[in-house]
Amino acid sequence: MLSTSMTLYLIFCCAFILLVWGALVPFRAGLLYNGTVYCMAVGGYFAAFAAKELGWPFFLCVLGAAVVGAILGFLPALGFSRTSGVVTAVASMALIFIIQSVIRNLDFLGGTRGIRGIPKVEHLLLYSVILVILLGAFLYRLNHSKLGRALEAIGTDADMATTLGINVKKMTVFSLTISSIYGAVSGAVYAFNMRTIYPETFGFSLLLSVMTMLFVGGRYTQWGVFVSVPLLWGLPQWVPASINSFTQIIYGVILVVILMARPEGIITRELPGKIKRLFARGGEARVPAGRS
Amino acid sequence: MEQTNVLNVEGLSVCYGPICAVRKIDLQVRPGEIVALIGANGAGKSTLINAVLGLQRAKSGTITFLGQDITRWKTEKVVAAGISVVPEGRGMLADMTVLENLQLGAYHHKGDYGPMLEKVFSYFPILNDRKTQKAGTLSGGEQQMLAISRALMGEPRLVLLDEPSLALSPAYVDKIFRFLVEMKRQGLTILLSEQNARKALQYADRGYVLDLGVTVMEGPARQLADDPEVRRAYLGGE
Amino acid sequence: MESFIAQIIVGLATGGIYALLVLGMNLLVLVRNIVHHSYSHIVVLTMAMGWLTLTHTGNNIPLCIVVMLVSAIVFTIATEPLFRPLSVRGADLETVTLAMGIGIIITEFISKYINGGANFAFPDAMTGRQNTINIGLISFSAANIVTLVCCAVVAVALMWFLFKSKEGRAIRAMAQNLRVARMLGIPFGRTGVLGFGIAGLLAGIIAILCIMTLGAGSPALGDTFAVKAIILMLFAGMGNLKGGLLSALFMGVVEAMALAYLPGRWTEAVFYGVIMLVIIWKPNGLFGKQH
Repeated sequence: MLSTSMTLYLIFCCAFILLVWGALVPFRAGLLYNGTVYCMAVGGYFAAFAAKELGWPFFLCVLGAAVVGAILGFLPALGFSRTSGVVTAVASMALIFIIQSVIRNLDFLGGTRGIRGIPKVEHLLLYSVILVILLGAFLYRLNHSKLGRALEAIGTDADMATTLGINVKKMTVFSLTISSIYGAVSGAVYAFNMRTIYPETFGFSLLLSVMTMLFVGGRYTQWGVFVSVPLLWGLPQWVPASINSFTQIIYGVILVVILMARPEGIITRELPGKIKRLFARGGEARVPAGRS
Repeated sequence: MEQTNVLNVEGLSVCYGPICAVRKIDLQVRPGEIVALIGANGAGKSTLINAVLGLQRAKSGTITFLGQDITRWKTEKVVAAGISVVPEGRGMLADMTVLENLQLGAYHHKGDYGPMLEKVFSYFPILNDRKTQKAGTLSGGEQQMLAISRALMGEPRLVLLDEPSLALSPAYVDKIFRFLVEMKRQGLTILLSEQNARKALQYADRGYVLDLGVTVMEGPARQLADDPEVRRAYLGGE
Repeated sequence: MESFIAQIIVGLATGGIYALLVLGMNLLVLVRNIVHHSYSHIVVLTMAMGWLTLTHTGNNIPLCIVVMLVSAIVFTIATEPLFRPLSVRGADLETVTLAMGIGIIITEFISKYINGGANFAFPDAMTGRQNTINIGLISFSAANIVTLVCCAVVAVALMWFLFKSKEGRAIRAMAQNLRVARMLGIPFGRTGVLGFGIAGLLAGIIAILCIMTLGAGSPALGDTFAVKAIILMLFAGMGNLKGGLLSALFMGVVEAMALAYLPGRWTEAVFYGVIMLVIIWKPNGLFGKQH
């Protein structure tokens, strides 16, 4: 049986894996979208409210959060289909300020005090792992589908993608909406695990954590998060208490160093293929050296 | 004899990864001559010019300018030493004025560039008339005049021209080449790359024919122009 | 009416500070094509250095000013090598993220080591807030006027540098076409460091003016400034110097008015909402991109 703190830690990892995947989808299309954190707030608050005030069961809360996240992510995405690059990054940052300010002003969501006493869910770890597997499989299918390749093409060169007949605007809206769903589900898992949420949770420092996990793990594959999230989320727990309060600084330093030294992250595009080939050579040489 | 050369290139190879755009090229430019590099698109002409400027690192070989080994120099040092360039496609700073473009040409000029500005304006009075206009508003021919004037502003010893006749009307091409010959008479040394082999060999003193990164022929321009091989490959038959 | 005019003056002084922030960031857009999101954090860090100097030297103001200017220049230039590998490749998303990382490091540093994370207030002798000017019934702090005048002088000086000096021309040439600029022999490294140095000097001046108008600094100030400055930059069009100046002054006044006359609860949400809509509506900025 896992200890309580270990269970908490693993569930947080699941939540952040989902969140970073949410940021990863638009990043393939060359967009640094900060709205994922905004949708995490939306999903977290929806789930918390539905569970505490309406008594909904876990999976219904998650489903509701996903639907609300998709809708509230789709609307700004319509606007962001017009922008690109730094403009999207900054304008979507404004979403975070807006949602924080809105939540603070809504009394039925607890205002600045947040929502406390979210009902405890039995087997939350199991459920979270199921969500990670489901959404991970979906992301894998997406990345290896026509849509995924279209996103990749946009990320490589948006003008070229247009000449290939890819509707860049539609694909942008699509990727941001998918990203919002991942963000919202992650928020729901986070809320159930934390059992208390505040508007302040979904701020700049969360954004920094996500960016660090995204850039450290590697932005081009979905597997990087399995390394970066446990490592970085575990950081505050594993380092001695005396330097525990420096977590944010350490995140910042890691981010700066990674961006300078290894801009593709720890898990690069080539690495999964290399590992596969390694195993293929070691075991029976049947597995073809697949592309990642 | 070597130290009398303005530019001396020996065994130069320039590679992009596994592919070498220039392979073991030797080239000399003597004081006061116009040397033409001719060859098709992708023959390595531009790569050679960029290597001389230090924009592209040489894999092997040496580049000597007035007796100094400049192979590993940074571009700014090369330009300061007295090599200036007329970039391919003219390289206008389109949102800056004509005057600002000229002033930037004199970035490394020590002392007063006023007299040089006067001189350039006397060659091309139209630039004087348009000096407060944005460079992007000039016609193609005027832009080429500006690009050449800008290259002269630093009073260089050697001017490199990358495809000076590109996208110019024939009348302008002759005008530009006649101007280069005039500059030569005043003591300037010129190395130019040109796809328009006929014009280049008409005005140049010597030429090098490049193909796929190697020198296939070199010699006096007149001699190259009469060579049957060159005529067939680069001058369009006969 | 009297308080209205006083509010406008306060707003213009704040706007002037925003204007210099945007000018500094736009300068860095020109030299390295980067959005230096942590430029504002450097300003706040400089304020913190000033505060440290004052508390350790018994309010030695001239020394404090020297320390602030020098440290601002040193901090800003120190970030140049961090951006260099990315800016050469023109990776703008990475540079924004990198700058965010730097910003967080600075913010956390200040909240750990400067006044235990609390606001750090400056003595009246430094802020000059006790001097008020009275014209008829209008009364306002002399510091606001000094700030406004300083902003105007600095902005004019920077414009002069960029448009009339040799190095300024070189910086604009690099912004417009890096390849051609290099072919003309403009040194990439040295000119960039010079641009960062001037942006650093500007950061030092902004920090001093912030002390005069705000009277105190706080760890969170860097984030607040950074978000406002980057939004203003996009609002006006990246690298558009004059557009940035106008938008900044306008924003300062609007903000002062909103603080004085609007009920507080929803202001922030509405403010960011409007800004976001304008940015989406005009992705190149109201005044267009410019190099």
